Amino acid sequence: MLPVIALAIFLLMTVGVYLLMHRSLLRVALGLACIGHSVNLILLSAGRWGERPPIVSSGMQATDVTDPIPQAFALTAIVISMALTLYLLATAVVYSRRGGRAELIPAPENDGEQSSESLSMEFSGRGERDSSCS
Amino acid sequence: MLLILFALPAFAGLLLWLARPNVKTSRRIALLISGILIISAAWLVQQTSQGAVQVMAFGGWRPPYGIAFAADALSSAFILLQALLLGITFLALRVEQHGEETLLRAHPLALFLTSGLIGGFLTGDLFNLFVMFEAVLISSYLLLQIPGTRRSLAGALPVIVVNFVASALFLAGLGLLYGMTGSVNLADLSEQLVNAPPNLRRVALALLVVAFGTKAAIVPLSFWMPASYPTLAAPLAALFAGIMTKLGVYALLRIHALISLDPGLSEALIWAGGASALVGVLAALSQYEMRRLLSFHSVSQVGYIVAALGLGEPLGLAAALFFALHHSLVKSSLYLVADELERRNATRDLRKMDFRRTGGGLLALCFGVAAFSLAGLPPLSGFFGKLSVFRAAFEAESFVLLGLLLVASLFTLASMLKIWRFAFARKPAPKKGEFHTQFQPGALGLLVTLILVLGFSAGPVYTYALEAAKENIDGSKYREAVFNAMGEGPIGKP
Repeated sequence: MLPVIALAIFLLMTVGVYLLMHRSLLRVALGLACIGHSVNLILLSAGRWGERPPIVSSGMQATDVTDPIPQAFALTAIVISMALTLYLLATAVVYSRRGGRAELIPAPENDGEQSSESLSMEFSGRGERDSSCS
Repeated sequence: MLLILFALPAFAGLLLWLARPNVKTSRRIALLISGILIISAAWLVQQTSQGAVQVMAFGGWRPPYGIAFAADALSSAFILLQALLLGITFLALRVEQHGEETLLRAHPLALFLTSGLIGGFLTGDLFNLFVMFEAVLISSYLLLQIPGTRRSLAGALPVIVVNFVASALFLAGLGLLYGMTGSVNLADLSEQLVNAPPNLRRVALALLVVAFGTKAAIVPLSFWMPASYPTLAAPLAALFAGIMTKLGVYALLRIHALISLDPGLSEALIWAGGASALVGVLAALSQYEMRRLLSFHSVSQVGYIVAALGLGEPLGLAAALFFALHHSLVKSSLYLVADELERRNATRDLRKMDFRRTGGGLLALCFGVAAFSLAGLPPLSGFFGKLSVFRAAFEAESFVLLGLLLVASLFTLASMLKIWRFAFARKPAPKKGEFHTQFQPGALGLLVTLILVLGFSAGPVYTYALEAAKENIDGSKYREAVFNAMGEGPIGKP
């Protein structure tokens, strides 16, 4: 069992890192999900891949079953990474709704191409916003 | 008491989020909460300064099985710092200047952020620390989006991606540690790891160090930070610069007992710190956007802290703690100055700033105090911060590091002079006109006063830091307190 899991961890991590190299936000989000799941497998492996579920009945040793605590860790991590993936995808939607492509691009340095009027509006909190990204 | 510190901001944040009161009420509630936090944090500092450790175990589970909150001198110093910075940020966020919508969004989110940070400073459990990190990160992503412009979206994305990967590495390291020891309780780990297989231990700890190093933004893991801070709504940048990188620093300090099991890792921290100090300040020197300049500066200053931490020994850790406190106050006040300058001049670009718009007087004085403190001129706090780091480097006979840090110091002064030259100094002016230069110091004045107080009471604060460092290295009091959280009795071991 263990070599298969090790291979799965390796493959998920590789695919994740490869996808992360792209500019497209969709691919980056998928890459992050892959990395997250690869780490979840590492967590699960920390609790032994036993044959039995962690319900100890009489006559059984505690070492016969898998350790439930890493499973709880992995569950928490899955929930968190799902929330973050959703948030990233929502950001991508907002991005493309504003006419931009959903890509990772750096913020412009200095003032970019903003006029000083729009800057002073922005600094006083009255700059243009999109209600969909609150 | 520990629970109040953690839960109060969370519930207050939830209340503000759901009730959406008008902006005045919201501001009052936010200020009230931060006031309560400051008082309870000060109480906690006073309680723990004599080496006592406050512990609270959850759900009737005896540590190391259950999760425990534990506050020692180190944690309570950071909690007090966070409470102070939160109060100052709320004071600095003003309706007239930053707009109603910004305030209404910022208040609950900053409270969530605080709850996560305080939880992170309190927890004695590695997995709980991960959860708190995520709570902090999610609030920070939302805070980054407050301006709601394309620019802020572009600034937030690298933060999300990089921190996601760092969290994944943290989790992987944690999984390996659990696999080796069957525990994620920090007090328990420091005992169990001594006999762990050294190679596996090194891998697991290196994963943790890389994860925390990314949050603390040390070279070569720092490049997400200068990309994002300049896009924040202004006074929030002060909060972020003050405390967000310090969570990474705190986590490194907390697991220092584990890191020091592996001399290679300490060595790596020293050189990463030295490199950050120099690379950060050189990058800062080449910027013309004030907030970007300051962000690169944070990289440089965190380098001092991490290098001191890597040196270890009580001297190094005390220097790291003192420098972290000093740097938070100074960097926050510089960001508040940047906020004023940007709004007055309606530009982010230092080259377009005009001394007549900036005005002189109090603002210049505040900037001067903060900038000289950052550069390390006596009798300001930065001098004592740098002195303590240099002393630690000198005692450890790490002269190359000492040289690196001294050169970085010189460039720090140069980059502060650059801001002065462009924004404050008189220049031949082609056009005439009336300029509005009224300035009310408010939050900034308070922060600068705190810097001065820290400078003049450097002795007692350093003694406190030294005590905290000794306790952190020894660790016996912490362990004892955590294991006896449910009263005296035999400690069950698996």
